[in-house]
Amino acid sequence: MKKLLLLNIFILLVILAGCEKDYLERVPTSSLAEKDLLSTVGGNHTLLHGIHRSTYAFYSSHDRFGQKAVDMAVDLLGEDYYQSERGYGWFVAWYQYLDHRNINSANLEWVWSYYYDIIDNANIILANIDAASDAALKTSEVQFIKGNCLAYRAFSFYQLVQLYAQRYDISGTNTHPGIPIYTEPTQEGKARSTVAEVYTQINKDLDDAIELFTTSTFSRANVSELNLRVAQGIKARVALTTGQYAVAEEMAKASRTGHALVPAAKYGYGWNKADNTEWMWGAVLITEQQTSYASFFSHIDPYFGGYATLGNHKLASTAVYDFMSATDERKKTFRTIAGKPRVGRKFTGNGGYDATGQSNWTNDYLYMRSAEMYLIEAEAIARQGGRDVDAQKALFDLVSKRDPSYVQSILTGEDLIQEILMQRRCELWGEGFRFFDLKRLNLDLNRENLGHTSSLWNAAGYFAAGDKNFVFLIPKQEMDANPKMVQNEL
Amino acid sequence: MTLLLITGSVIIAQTRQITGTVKAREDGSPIPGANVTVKGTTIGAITGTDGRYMINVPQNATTLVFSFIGMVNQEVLIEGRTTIDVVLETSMVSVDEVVVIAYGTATKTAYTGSAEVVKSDQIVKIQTASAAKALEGVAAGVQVTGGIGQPGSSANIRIRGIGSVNASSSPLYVVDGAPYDGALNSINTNDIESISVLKDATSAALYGARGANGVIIITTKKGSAGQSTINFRATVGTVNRAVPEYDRVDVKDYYELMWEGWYNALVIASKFTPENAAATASGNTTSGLVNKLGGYNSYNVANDQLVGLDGKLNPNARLLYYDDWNENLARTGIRQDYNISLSGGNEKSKYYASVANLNEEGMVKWSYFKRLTGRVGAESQVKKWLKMDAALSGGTSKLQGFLAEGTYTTNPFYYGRLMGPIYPIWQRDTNGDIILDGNGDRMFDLGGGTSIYKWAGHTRPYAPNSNLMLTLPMDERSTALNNFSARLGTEISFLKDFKFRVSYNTDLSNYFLTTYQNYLYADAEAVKGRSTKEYRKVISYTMNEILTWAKTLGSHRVSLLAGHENYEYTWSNVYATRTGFTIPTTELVAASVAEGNSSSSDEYSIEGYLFRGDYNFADKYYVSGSFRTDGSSRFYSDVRWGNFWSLGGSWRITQERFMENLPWINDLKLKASFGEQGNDDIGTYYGWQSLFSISGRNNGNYNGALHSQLENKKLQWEKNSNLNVGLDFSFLDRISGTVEYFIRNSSNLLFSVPLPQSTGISSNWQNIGSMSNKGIEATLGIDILKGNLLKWNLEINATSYKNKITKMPLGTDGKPQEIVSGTKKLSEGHSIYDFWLREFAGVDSEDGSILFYKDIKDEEGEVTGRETTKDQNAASYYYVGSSIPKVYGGITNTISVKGFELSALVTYSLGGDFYDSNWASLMHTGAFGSHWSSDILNRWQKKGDITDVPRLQNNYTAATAASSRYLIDASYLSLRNVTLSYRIPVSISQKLDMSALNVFVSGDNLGLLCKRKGMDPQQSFAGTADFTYVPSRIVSVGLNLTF
Repeated sequence: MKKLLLLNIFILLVILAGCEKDYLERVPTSSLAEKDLLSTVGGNHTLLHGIHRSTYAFYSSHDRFGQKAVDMAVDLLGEDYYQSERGYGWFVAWYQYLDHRNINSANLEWVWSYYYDIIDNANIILANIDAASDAALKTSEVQFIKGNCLAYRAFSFYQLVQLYAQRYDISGTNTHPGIPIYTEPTQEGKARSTVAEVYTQINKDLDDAIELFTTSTFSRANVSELNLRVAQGIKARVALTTGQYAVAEEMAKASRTGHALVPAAKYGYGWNKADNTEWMWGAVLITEQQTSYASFFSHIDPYFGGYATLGNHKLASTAVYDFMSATDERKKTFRTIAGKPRVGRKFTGNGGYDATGQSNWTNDYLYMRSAEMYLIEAEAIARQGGRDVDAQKALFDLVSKRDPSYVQSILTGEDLIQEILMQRRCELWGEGFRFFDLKRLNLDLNRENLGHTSSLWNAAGYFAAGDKNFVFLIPKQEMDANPKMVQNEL
Repeated sequence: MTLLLITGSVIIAQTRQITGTVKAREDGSPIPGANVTVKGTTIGAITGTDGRYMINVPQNATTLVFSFIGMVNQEVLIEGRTTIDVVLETSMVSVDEVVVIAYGTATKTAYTGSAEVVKSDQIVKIQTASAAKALEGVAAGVQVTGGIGQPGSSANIRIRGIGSVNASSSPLYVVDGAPYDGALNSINTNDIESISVLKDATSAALYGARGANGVIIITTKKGSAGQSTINFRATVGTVNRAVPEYDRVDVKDYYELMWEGWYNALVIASKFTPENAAATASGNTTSGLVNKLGGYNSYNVANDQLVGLDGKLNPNARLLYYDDWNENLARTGIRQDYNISLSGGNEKSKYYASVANLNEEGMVKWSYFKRLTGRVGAESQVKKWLKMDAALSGGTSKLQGFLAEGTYTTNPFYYGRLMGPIYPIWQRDTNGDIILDGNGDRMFDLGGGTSIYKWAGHTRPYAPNSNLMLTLPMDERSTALNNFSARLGTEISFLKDFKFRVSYNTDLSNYFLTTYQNYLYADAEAVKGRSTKEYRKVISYTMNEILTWAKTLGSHRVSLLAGHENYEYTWSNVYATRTGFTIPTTELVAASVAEGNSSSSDEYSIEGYLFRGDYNFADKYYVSGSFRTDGSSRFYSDVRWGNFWSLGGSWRITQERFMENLPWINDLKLKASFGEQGNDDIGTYYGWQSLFSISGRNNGNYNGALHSQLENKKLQWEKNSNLNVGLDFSFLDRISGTVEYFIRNSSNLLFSVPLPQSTGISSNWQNIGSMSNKGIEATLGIDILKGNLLKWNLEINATSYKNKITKMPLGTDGKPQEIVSGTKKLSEGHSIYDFWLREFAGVDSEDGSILFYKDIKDEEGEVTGRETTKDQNAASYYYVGSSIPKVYGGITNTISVKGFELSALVTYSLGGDFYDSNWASLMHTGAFGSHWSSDILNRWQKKGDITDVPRLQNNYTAATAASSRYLIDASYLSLRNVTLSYRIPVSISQKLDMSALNVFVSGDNLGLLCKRKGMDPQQSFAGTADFTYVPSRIVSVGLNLTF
């Protein structure tokens, strides 16, 4: 009897152990399932914040830290910004025109995937947010989020098409290959649209975004989120690239609303903290999200012990440095450090005047500011012709806030444009524009006699305008996985 | 006591007492634990440690039977004697070996499957903290790599080829009946009784969704009936580097070669005139050689006098200093291993307990592994129908290591290998003497930075602001592990032939990891030190209920098994990082800035029902079958459950009547099995779900998420069908062995199918693809000499297999995809480890350019031929070899004379290629600061030079592009272990009141023969190298005594 009793207990145990219904249902803690995330407006907004974060996240290599890493590469591909020694070697292959001309380059692949990941996430939100359970209750937030997604998508296409395709020719048909356009989530690779088609899509997305932002009354969390002004700013950049100068002028002017220029005396202080009126778009970092050595400031701040301090100082070309007058506050941010001339201290945050620099690694990333809009406005007016005085005035409004003794330019026509462009090189040094401008203006890359260490640039001392080296190659992963993809000229 | 004596005396009245000693013929040593029984009765006794026995036999008894495992039974007529001494012979046909298999045991002769058993005496010969390393070369079909030298490190194992592409190909580890999730290095190898390697379907199918890649069953010691014994085993030895460093250039050559590379770069890339380039390279501007090398001049001449315009070192220059980083980082470590165990019991109850301490210092300073383990096990047949067993084990260990892989500046194997020879550890004055600080201590050179050890005017281009001699002892990268395992089983017998067993098992591991970078120097100087503390908890529970029924009816024997099992696994962690230290401690409390902290957890569960049946007719014909159905939490509910099964049979030919005429054949058995197992270890616990990562995605203080995985509700386990045909044989009382042929077909293979990166997520998990492993493996044991005085045994095993991908996912074009990953390309008809690389076509003798092959295509895109190209981007890729060896295995020779035994294990691998990226990084074209292989001396220098090393030219990237140039034959022969032991004669050990005393000398990794000095071809199955901790040579002395 006893044995039978025991047996019964055992069999009972077996049945009990034959497990509850949800014994085999397990969910992760470090990820969210799609249905849980996208079913509410708040969840969609969480995804949008993830996109914001992706612009300053760490991507497994010390030279990949989001938007500022792309900006740094774009500067290093030009002639105004360079390293005089190899140091730890980061970004050297960009400077040498090797990274973007090597289909196996991890950096080449990263830039491509960085922007297409933003597009994918934006498309997911756009495809789902209207069906969110509380979408009808939060129309203003929905409009705001959709505006962000469209503007992000436009911005990403704009960056990609400038890098991975031959330049946009204002007077041409632009039927040459651009990049694939995706406007909804998919797993199927698409063929490259023409450059013209890509810009059509960019403009459509921006127009839609501007409309949504205009309607929405939702205010952004902080400067990391895009808003009407940022969308207008992107539109101004695009219009300048495509030669729609009236649009560029209008958008540049509108976009800087509420973003006053800082006075000359403050110039050296603001480019690492978002509490600066010029900032239109950027990222606000907190200590646990800063990426230490793998960060913009590690690579650019010459003082506080990052890669720049360890040898990779970023220097300005003599062209930029010599153009600025002695009273120009911008000029004072360059100084000889470690035996190297014209080392940029623009981003040290303390005016660049104090050799001790800042003591912590947590600094904000700058993506767009109103000074650029003055420059776009001035150039757009000058290029429309007939209103040089207006252009001179726009330029003066900016430069007088940099150089107290600046006198409004009396140049006209092409000379005025050249002055605006030189001011642009001085003002936006280190912010990721020069390579784009070389392509936009169809200029040569010429690093001779600007202070560079000729031995460091490898074969990239001079390329004539329109050279194939101005075009990024399509990364090998895309070529392998997307049968519709066509490579650029090798 | 008194009562017992009285009772005893009563018995004496009806019985008589016989005493005596049982000894072994072989060496005359006493045999403890031998059985002495009165024939035809249950009366018996067991010999003591001295081999002596005492038995009371009935008056009418006529015969005593003496028996001992491994010995021939002996029957002795009593013939009125009161003292009977017996000498037992070693049995010719070894006693039927017991094999631990899935959910039970089997005798080797009755087993229809393929399983290899490695016994404790072999396991303890290898001086390792991890049992996995002890399997190398001793079991056919088992491939072991990752034998790195970091103390406490484990190894990776593949059984019968490679089972998977993207999912795990590792076998399932089972310890004492339950899947084991702890660290292998937390099991003391001295506590292991045996390791069974289950290779075919019959053996492994009962593990269902986890059995596809084979199973390794570790069985710990349990104690045996007989006298209690205490065993003490101690080994002490030295630890040194087993694989030498690559041959590298000397200081003089280094300067000249650097000059040459720089000069060429100036002329070829920067378009300098030759004169201008030579003047620049030899000069002392920032573009001069010495300054490009960071201002380091090891000679007593001025910087612009060091290397002349002809690229030759100034003949009058005298070398001032040279520091060998490798030598300074290395040491002779000491390894100590002490074990003490107690075991014993009687027919009903048995026990085993042990405590052990292992302390191993690595061959690189500051690396070590310390471990303390304990184990207690007991079992008892409490009632005739009730049995219970319990085993508890636990341990605590600390592993102090480095980032000993990859190109981390803190990896001493990367650092010591690639640091140019001109860079000193300590700062030098103009005489080359080491500069001392105020305390008389040597001033380190950090090669840059801003600390007190920045040598003015010197910035090393290779790894500036670092000095491992300074920082490694200050930094910490340690893993402290506390682990606990419990196995508890209860078994009841009922209704005659039934048994029901319930067991409850748990493994708990707590890892405490510290990563600390000091606050004074190098990497974390700028943030004043950084410390990360991480706590990880891994717990698994397995509970199973097994019902068995066994019956013998005449010549028919049947046994059946049915059971249920559930398994639950939880992984969780919490970590925090802080910076800002002012005192030397790793503790976060002392740091001022919080840099990050988080926690997360993962869960995984399996539930299964299992069945097995065995039938045997007259010990001649055997049939067995098994079935298991498993549900895994890794898959979507609609496809979660899968069925796995096996069918096997064997025929013992020697049992047939017609074999009686062939008495020289001791045993002949033909066996075959087929079945299907699964592999649910697809690397992710939630692979089917569409996921958005929230780890590291917050935007400031706003919650963030980002798309991380695409949904696939059809995702399920990989299937593995397994055919095994084998022959076991033994003849002439000397030769025995096994030959087996196997076909493993993996299907439903999990593929990370690449999607265009432009669509966002660049890959998706899909069950597409098939792969086969076909091979043959053989084990042969020969008793070459088996005299009483001299014995020589030879064991050889060899395995050869072919791996082939038979089905790949279809691409968007409807054709099977080809997936390139790293140095490999997966495509149908090729193996998983076929190298897919540019094909090196030599060096252009005109200009020293590297040449690659490139396909010539016609207008339709068809390949019509090939030509060479200098452009690495234009080069075509080809299949150029495979890392899978043609044949691999091990050879063990054991020679014993008197009390001496000498054994030597040689492991070998023939064929296959190795992509030597370590060597590749030493063959750069002039990267300032990096060291060079001596092979660089064969570089192209001038027009007409015929060589296979391209010209030197700083930043000449084409020359260093991955290609077949870096492939090398991976064949090797390794003297894995030699052990010489001596058994002290019984006459001496008995005087010391010991039953046995052995002393021994043992050496691991004593020699390696391979194609290139410096390479370690055993690093990975994929045939790639990664600056890993080189294997250690351990030479020890030891003693083993038993009371």
